[in-house]
Amino acid sequence: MDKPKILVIDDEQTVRQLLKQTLEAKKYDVETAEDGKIAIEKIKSNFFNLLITDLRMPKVGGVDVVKEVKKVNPYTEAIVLTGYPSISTAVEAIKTGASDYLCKPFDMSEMLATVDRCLDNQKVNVNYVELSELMTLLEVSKAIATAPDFDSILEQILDSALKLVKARRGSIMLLDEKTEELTIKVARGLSDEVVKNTRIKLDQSICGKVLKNGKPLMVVDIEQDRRVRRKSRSEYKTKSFISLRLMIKHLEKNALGVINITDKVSGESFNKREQILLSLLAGQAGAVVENYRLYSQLQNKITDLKNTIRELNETQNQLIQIEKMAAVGRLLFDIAHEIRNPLAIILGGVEFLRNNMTYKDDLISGSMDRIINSVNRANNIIIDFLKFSRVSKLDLDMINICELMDEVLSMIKDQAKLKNVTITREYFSELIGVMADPAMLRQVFFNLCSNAMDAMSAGGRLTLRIYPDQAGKDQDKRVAIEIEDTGSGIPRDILSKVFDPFFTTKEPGKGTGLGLSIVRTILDRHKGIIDVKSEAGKGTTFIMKLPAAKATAQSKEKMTCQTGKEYS
Amino acid sequence: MSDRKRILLIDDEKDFCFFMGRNLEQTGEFEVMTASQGREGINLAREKNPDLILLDINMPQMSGPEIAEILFHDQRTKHIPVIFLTAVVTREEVGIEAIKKIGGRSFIAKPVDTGKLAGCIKSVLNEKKESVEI
Repeated sequence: MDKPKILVIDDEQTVRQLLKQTLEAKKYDVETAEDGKIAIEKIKSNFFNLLITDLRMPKVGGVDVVKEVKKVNPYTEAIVLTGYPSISTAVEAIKTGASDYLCKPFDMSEMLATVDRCLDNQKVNVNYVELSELMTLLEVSKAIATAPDFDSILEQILDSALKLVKARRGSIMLLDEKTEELTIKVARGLSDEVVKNTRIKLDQSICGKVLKNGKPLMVVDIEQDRRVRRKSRSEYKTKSFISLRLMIKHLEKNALGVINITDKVSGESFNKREQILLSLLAGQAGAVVENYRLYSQLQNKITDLKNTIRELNETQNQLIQIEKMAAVGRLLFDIAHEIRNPLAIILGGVEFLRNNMTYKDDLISGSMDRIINSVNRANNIIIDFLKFSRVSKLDLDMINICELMDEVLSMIKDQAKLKNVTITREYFSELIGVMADPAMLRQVFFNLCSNAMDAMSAGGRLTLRIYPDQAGKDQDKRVAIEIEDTGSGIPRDILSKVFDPFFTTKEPGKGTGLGLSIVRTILDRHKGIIDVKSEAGKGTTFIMKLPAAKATAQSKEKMTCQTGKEYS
Repeated sequence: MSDRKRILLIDDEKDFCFFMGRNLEQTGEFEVMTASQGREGINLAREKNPDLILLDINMPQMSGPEIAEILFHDQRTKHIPVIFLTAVVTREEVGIEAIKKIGGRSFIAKPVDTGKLAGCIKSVLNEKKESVEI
């Protein structure tokens, strides 16, 4: 850390010398001035942490020096020295911004303690000012990152720059690469006419230089500055300004330009510190916009990745489901073999017994019939199981799904009446084609409608909806079929299991637990999907989606359309 | 006795062979010999030259289609029509094309009653060269 710089101002040389020696011994960097005028010159060209000034001096007094230093650098501290009679002036000095005062002749230890206290104060003040500047820079980052478009970003940068150095007027000029001209993109405190008509050739101007070499330009006093041509000085209509290069990459745009800031609210010239702050801001703005761009790209990548993972999960689940069904298929295969062979033996055996009865006995003969019936019944169950296992073949045909649903409704309508269930049809049209195995789909609709009826033991409403699914591109348009009941609903903890093979909530012997599993297998084979939504006590909705048929004239003809069917 | 058709039944389920063999014989139309595994069945086919073979598909050691292939490539047995039996699949799922591919003339799903089996045997024997679907 630099040594704190102290300026001692007193017209008495002994006082200056004493303070200089004492303070330098304490590792301070000390300069002296014998009057107020010299002091003010020094203040303008150098930064001081602390002034120690006599109050009564010829020409320029201590109060004026304090006033001046507060203008140039508001966080320079000041201690005023005064003789007894002018204590009221010391109070005035304090009001002007001095931190403390000491009466002459002063005690050196008291002086050192005061110096220490003032420098501590100064540190706190500087920290505070720096913090507020940092906050402005941070706010800029946030504001820029959330700006909706490129122009808003530029406006945001300009406003922040003005706020940062407390200036009124400014502009951002961007380079038109074709014409090699700078034009004003955003401005504050400039007339519309100036904004519209200002065109600066790249190689002719100060801005052009800033743009080319990237070094910030600060003009403290335009009349004294040789870099600005005498002729054009009046055109700037200001005494002091700062010009900085601005580079922004936003989306596909690569903007190169200059930010100009002028007219401090206080009316003073800009200082080195403000130039650094603005450079920071310009650099920060570029980085933030670039980061934001990268961040958006990253976000898009993450979204893509999430989608991929979700799709992978879905595929994986489907594969697991298919694998499960394949396992069930193999199991059924084995069961069929192990059970149907003994059934064949029983059947053959009973026939053998019948053939070899030596006398006629109706009781025994009737018993044999019953055994044969049981064999057939057992065999039929096996056949049902096999029908939907892996070995079954899909027989695709163009069908009208509305008609197929109506067929199923006609099968259950008597049962519905009995159970006090109202059936509502909500078909998008009466003719919606899909390529499907009609027997299998009939089984699907029947299984789902039967389940719905079972869930509404106290009556209710069964709603069937068939409509084109709006999602998806033309080539993979789908038809949605919903079967909704107002029954008991499925508890949340078992909702994910309902499609599992052999999962049933019915009493033993009342269901095989294969109904919904078969439904899902059939939809899988049709490249369709099924989902279930349910709320305990409110009801259940099964939503199926099947690939829509690409209807041809021939296929339309083939489908017969039945309209106006009502079930109640 | 001489006009009875001579049937060879090859099935690893010995009880099935016992009952179905007896049942077929008791119709008075068939004379049945049985074998409970492939090698024994092939030897019997070569020696006795039956009119028709009933062949179970799913057997340990040698499967029905493997046996059928051997029989088909043997001059002594290639002319004998084969009806496949199986407990594994239903008749609707198999289609006659698949049966022809494995060298069969027809197909019966177990369990099967004697009347149906006898009917199938007779139609295959009557239409000698053609494949028969029942």
